[in-house]
Amino acid sequence: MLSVRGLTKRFGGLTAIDGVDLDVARGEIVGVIGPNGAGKTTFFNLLTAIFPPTSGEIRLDGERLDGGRPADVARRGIGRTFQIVRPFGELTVLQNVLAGIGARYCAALWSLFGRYGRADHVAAARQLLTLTDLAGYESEVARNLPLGLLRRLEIARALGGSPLVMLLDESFSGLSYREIAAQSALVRRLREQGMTIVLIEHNMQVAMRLCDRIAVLDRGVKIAEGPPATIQNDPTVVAAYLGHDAACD
Amino acid sequence: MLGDYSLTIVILMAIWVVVTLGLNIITGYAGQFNLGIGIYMGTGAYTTAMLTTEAGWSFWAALPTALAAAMLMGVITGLPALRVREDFLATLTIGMVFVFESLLIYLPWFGGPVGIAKIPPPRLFDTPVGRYGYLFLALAAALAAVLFARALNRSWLGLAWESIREDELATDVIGIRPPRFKLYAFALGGAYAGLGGVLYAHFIRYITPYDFGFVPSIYILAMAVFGGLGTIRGAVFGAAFLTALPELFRFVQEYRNFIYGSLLVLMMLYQPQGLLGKDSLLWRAVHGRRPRGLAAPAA
Amino acid sequence: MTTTIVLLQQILNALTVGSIYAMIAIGLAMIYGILRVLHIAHAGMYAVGAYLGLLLYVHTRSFALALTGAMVLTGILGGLIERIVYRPMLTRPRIVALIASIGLYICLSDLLRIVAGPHEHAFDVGITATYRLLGLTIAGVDFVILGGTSAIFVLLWLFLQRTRMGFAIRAVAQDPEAARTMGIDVDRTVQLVFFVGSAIAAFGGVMVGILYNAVYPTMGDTVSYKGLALIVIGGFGSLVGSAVAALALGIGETLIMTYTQVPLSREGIAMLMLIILILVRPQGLLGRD
Repeated sequence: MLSVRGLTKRFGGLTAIDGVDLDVARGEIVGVIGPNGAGKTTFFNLLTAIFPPTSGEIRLDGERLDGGRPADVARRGIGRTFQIVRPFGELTVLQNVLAGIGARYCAALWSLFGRYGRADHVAAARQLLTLTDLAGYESEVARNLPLGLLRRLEIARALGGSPLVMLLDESFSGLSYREIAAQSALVRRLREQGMTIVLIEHNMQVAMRLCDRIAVLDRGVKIAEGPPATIQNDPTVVAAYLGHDAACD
Repeated sequence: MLGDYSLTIVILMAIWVVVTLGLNIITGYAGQFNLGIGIYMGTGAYTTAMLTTEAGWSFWAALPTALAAAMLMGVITGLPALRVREDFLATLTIGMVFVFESLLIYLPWFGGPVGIAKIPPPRLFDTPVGRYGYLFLALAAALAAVLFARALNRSWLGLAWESIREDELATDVIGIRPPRFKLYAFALGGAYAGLGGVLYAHFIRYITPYDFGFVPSIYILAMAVFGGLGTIRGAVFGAAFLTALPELFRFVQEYRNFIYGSLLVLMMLYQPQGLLGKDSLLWRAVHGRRPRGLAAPAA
Repeated sequence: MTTTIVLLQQILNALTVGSIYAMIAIGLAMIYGILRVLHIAHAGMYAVGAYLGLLLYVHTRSFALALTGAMVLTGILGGLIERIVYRPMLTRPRIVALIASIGLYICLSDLLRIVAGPHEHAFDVGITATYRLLGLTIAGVDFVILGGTSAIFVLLWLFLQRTRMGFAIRAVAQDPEAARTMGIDVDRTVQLVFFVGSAIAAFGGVMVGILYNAVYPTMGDTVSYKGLALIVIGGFGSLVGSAVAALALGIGETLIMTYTQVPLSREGIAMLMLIILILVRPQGLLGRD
């Protein structure tokens, strides 16, 4: 489904990502973990064309993905959430999700002027709200919502574009125990519906429990990859985390 | 029926409502700070003035041409605006309107600092449209402007604009290309302001570069901000109120700048969302604490 | 031979004008650097300073007293403005402060018109001496301006680099939170910057009033939006950049106006440079933003 080869990104003298390879099969849940500063979010930024790679290629279903703009990547079927939530603050929850659905109507000049409040559009948006357990909040203005709901809102909004792959960037951070359970259930529901998911996570338990496979990044390089059980016990991985923690003391 | 004086005020109110709605599209909906809305109003006004005076065109032929010119000017000024944000964008638009005003003064084809005079009134069936005719024209234009703005607000285009205003990156990432939509905003907002410029030119029948420079642009910004940026009711109320105020109260005319200036400062301190803006004290008092949803879209 | 003299004379005049612009620009840059606000109302301080200078001179007949008094009083006004207008707006989007600043400027210049009348006032302090040097005519006023601005530059540099308060200012401009944890009173420091910046603007206003022998309500117009051009060209927040930009602008403007037929006013030229620079190099000549 998603295939990354030799992905490298340099910012001036700093190499943030160095020759990373990753394959994600359809319907998998792959985790990307690593100590702080490992380049995980940079990796996502490259996947979603927020900046271009220095070298390497990204393919979705065999077709090249890099070289476009974020909007192009989104239209090809990649959805994403952000580490620090970015909702449309002044818009209502319903409007946020409708915006997510809106991309395909915004593409053509003639559909651009159509009413977004039409019954079928609203119904589609409501379906997504039900899926993400936000049904009761549709008229709330986004900036009034707590973090847990905002994280789900971002997912609902990204789902509006009917993506094939969802990139979730630390969407469990800042959540309470209950919310983490609900969020995990959501991720599993998405997979049941055929979604391919890549998630960046700092929370080890979540990553181990949800993911089929985990890739570990450290200082821009992939140092390990495999099923959760293997990764947990991999000495290089442990060293990477401990080394970092020790260095920070 | 209406005295000559009241007639003038109402026509002017309609004209400024149209222009303010244009600014509302660019800065209110799409969130692109534009402190130089005078550029598009001036483009519309000068285009129609030159076409009807020197080239002998009729009002009705000049109108669409002037609108197209204003739209084009919107796109032209929008292109550089794509590269910058916020403070830089505001500064850029200030610079652009100064250059615009300057060019109008110094380039000979535009009539220089004296501007263009003797702009003919519109003619219908070979007779000039009278005062009441013009009132009808201006009000019809304002009504059309409001209705179209409402349609835009409820359309995917409007939703895209508001998304861009809220968070450009997030909008990009869900598949909506911000640069394209920003240009749409500049084009349509420019067209609105251009329409206002055309109506202004054929009403006052005498235009100068100073009518469309930085200071008038700020007056219009004041109208939009005072009423409530990002809402149609705010643009209409702000424009109507601040146009009528100096006419109704002579002393306001005397101290106009002082009052407008203080108004801006006070508004920004206490009600930056405008008197009738979303979540303003007044609007909430009128409507109760009903949260905004599809049932009550911002209109 | 004469054309060189004329050119040099022009450049001298331009330097005088340029150094005044530099005064304004430095104050603006300091304020932007510390508060990220495009303080358009700064031009209001310039005009108010000129009027206060004139008022004080009329009552005391002492140039020195008038100048210092104007600077101090305007500085205090600047500090008050920061406290009353800008500080409450820190949590709002930046456009709010910008609009407020524009409103404030419009309000101030109209207030001057209301209080002192729309006409020009003469401001003559009797510095009529002129000197001839290498064929150039240098007015006594030019000396005062060039000398005064140079002195202010040097004093300001020493203040920022060698004193505790100056260090505080630089720290807050870099990182307010870090400065706070170091025990620096951020609010007080910001207010100080406004005081200093406004005082310097007042100096500019008084000197221009004397130079052209005219004080009028809209005298701030030329510098207000041009001041914007200066912070941008210089590099938002860069003091040296703004000063250099100001001098360059003064010279550039004068030369372009004298020797070419560009269909633009002095404002237009400055603004055109502004536009080109924002597009080509948004961080300005020396800025890092």
